[in-house]
Amino acid sequence: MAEESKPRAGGAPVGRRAILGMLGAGAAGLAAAPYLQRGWEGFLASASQLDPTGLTGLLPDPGGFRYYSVVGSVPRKDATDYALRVGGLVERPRTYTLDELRAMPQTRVVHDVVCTDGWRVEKTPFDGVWLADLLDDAGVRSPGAAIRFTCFDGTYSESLTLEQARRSDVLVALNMQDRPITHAHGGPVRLYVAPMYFYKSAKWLSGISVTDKVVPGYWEERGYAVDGWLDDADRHSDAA
Amino acid sequence: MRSTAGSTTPTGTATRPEPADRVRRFTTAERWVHRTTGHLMLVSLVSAACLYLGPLARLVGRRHLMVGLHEWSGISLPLPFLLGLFSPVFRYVSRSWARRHHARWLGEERPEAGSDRATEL
Repeated sequence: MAEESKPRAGGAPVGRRAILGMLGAGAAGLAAAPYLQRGWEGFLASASQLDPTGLTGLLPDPGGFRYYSVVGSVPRKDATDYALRVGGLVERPRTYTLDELRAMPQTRVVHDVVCTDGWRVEKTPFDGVWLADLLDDAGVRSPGAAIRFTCFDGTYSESLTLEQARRSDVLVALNMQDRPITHAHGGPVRLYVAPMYFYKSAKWLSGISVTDKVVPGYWEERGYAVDGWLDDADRHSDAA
Repeated sequence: MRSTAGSTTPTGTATRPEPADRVRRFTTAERWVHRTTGHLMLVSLVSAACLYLGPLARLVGRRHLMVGLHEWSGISLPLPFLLGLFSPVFRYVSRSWARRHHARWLGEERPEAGSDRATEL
């Protein structure tokens, strides 16, 4: 058995006070975190109102929307090269340009945007085309019962049942907060499913395909609920 | 009974030759535990930045990968230490540290030199 090495001069290398202090600080951090985070978000939200430089947006957790993408880079599309294909189990498959979508009757839906990660942007206005209108134009044929959405980021996908897709608070959105949807927010065209968590509202929408049963989307294959209802959503109503 | 200096490296395992002008203060196992913990912490911090800093998130994307890296690097932070306990050297060092300092922590008398064998944990 090896001998004990000589104790270092100056006592213990790590003091009892230091270790107990660190444990205490860790516990206090855990207890205080929710309050600190809420305070920080509130502070940044009000600071960003007065900040013309936009520097507050560079700090962590600035409140408001956060950028999520499941791929490394997403191509940019505008009116010149954007196309939305409607196909699958339909009578008349067709492709819409951005201008064609803008020329259709526009509907406004105002609702809280809620992410599964806990952030929320209250009373956000979206304008766009009712998904139900696009489905009527194409004519869903038997045995069509669900919709699969695909995106021009090349990877993301989403799903809705036909009943959900025909709700009046489900939009193929072109504007958010009264401005054309920017690339970072999923523009030029994204889905907005107001009564569900925001992961259901696919960004960079490029394909709408009618299927005979629900095909789980990207996050749904990774453990998220296929029906992402918000807690206060009226699941069977036609209205928002 | 004449005491000899204890070995600070695992007996019977290959070690790098000591550079002439340097003294290795820590054992291989200690260094390994220290560095792995450090690297895990770094991965955890960088992936958190890619999730929560807007400009970085836009640059990196790949959310599923970043979430996985962040969660797993965080959860495995204690692993190097626990694995290190399988290393006899690390175990010896931790035990001798405990032997040297626990008594003082608990306010007891430090064991007399030479009585180590009797009080070994």
